[in-house]
Amino acid sequence: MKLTAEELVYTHPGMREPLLNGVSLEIAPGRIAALLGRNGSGKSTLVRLLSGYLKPDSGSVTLDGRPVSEWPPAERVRRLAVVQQHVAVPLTDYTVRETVAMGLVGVSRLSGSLSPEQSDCLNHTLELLDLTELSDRLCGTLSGGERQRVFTAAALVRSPGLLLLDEPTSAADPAVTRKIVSLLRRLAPEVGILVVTHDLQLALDCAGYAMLLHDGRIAAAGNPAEILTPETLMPVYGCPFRRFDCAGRPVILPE
Amino acid sequence: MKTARIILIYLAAALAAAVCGVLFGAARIPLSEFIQDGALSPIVELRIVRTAAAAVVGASLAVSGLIFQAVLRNSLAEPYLLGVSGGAGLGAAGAILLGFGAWGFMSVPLFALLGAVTANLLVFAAVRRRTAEELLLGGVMIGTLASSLLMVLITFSHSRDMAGVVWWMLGSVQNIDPARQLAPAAILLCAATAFLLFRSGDVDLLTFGPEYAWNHGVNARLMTVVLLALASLLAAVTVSMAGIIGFCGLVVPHVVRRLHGGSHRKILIPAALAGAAFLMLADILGRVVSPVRELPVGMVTAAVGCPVFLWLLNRSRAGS
Repeated sequence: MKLTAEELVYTHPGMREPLLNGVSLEIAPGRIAALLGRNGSGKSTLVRLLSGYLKPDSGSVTLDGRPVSEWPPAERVRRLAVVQQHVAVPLTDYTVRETVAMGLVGVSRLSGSLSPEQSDCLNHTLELLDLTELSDRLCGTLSGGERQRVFTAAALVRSPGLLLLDEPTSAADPAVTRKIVSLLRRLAPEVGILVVTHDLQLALDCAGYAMLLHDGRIAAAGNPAEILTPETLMPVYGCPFRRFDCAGRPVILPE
Repeated sequence: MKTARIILIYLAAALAAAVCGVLFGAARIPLSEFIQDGALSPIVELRIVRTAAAAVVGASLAVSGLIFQAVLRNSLAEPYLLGVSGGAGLGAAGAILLGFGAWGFMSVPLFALLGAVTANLLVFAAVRRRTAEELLLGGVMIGTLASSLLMVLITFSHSRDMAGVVWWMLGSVQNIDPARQLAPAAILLCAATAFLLFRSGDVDLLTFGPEYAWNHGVNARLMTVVLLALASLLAAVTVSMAGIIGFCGLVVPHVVRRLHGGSHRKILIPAALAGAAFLMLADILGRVVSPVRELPVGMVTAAVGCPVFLWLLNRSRAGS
């Protein structure tokens, strides 16, 4: 299973300059890739293009060789799951269990009932993200970090082959962040993962590949330990960084 | 509460309202006179048609409102948002004021339906991107334009004709032809409800926004247009036969959602039954409170619905 973007160019409606100008990347099982870049650099837009929600001005996104927007929706989401950064608050409040169950494809449309396998899968996913105790709570009563975990569970519940996560730990506390990192590491051998993040440490700790998005292009890509250096980060973020080793792990912080 | 039990409660309420609709009215008829010479009394027959019409109109408006609110993610959304009321008003007023009413009983409803559908199609044609938000804004614009044209027509009309237009705009379930109006509307309601029940998972996902729905396997843009067009068609058909009945499509879905929350699979039929019961009761009140000159049903829905809604506003779904 493979998601490939080639020479993507995208201009927001009403804007003259393209936000993304020739971005190419590949996501495949066995690797966690991190996408970094400053605010407004087009990271979330790139995720929308990769998911097929937005159409590029030029270039292509293919899922297993077929344009992503041409896949039947149910087939597409069985292969490719996306966890958005922001999800609208629905008018109807659903419980955690209801929300995660919506991620399952093939729920009996009329009765809404789950097969025993689907039920097992749902319970396993709730457990994986520490949501079992919250399963009967209404999502409107949860914190931002808890809601983020619910939406991650809704994406993972159908066991996708590829997973795009847009800032999955932006509202998480350190313990939850650690848990999500270890979960991604566990999934990585069988699932291709792209994590969009501002957290340089997250990229250093869990990604095997990192990409720096700057001026509409991938400015640097490669092993995170090699490309996340003060020299590469300074032009992207516009501020100086310091890198040092702590207990054998590279740590990078803005000065 | 289990879905089946919720549906049974609403079904019982709707049946009770239907029985009251046949039993009570401006004239008091003893039960013994319901059947005369082996046939139903003409007044009872009229009441049955009228009650059935109230049920179909109320259920259609509630289902339409439920879909509008879900897709637009706005609790203030109501069935007439995409220009339906303005277009229907313009069509009906045009028929009355330009003398087409003399063509026959069906001319005013047909012109109203034509106006509503035309306004609706104009909205879909004028809005290029067709996101829920832009369709909503387009609907408000076309609706406002239609209402302004309606005011121009009224300004240049005779006072006798004007009264007819105003009465039509207040809404009524009187004088609805069972074969030519009620039966097609009931068929449309059943077909729409079956379709929505089958696609209720898509409606649930759309309440999280179109991108979330897309990421969970819904063709969000297409589904938004299909759902809003279907909800508008339900509204257009009801408005063509019963005029503009406010409040039912706004309040009933909101109340059902607030009381039971959860999936649209669970609340769609209760909302339809609640809409039917609500409009049947409002119609009975209009007949009983003022027997000589009936109160317009749209006025009764607002007078009854407003305090009930405010009371429920301070309650929330159990467990929240």
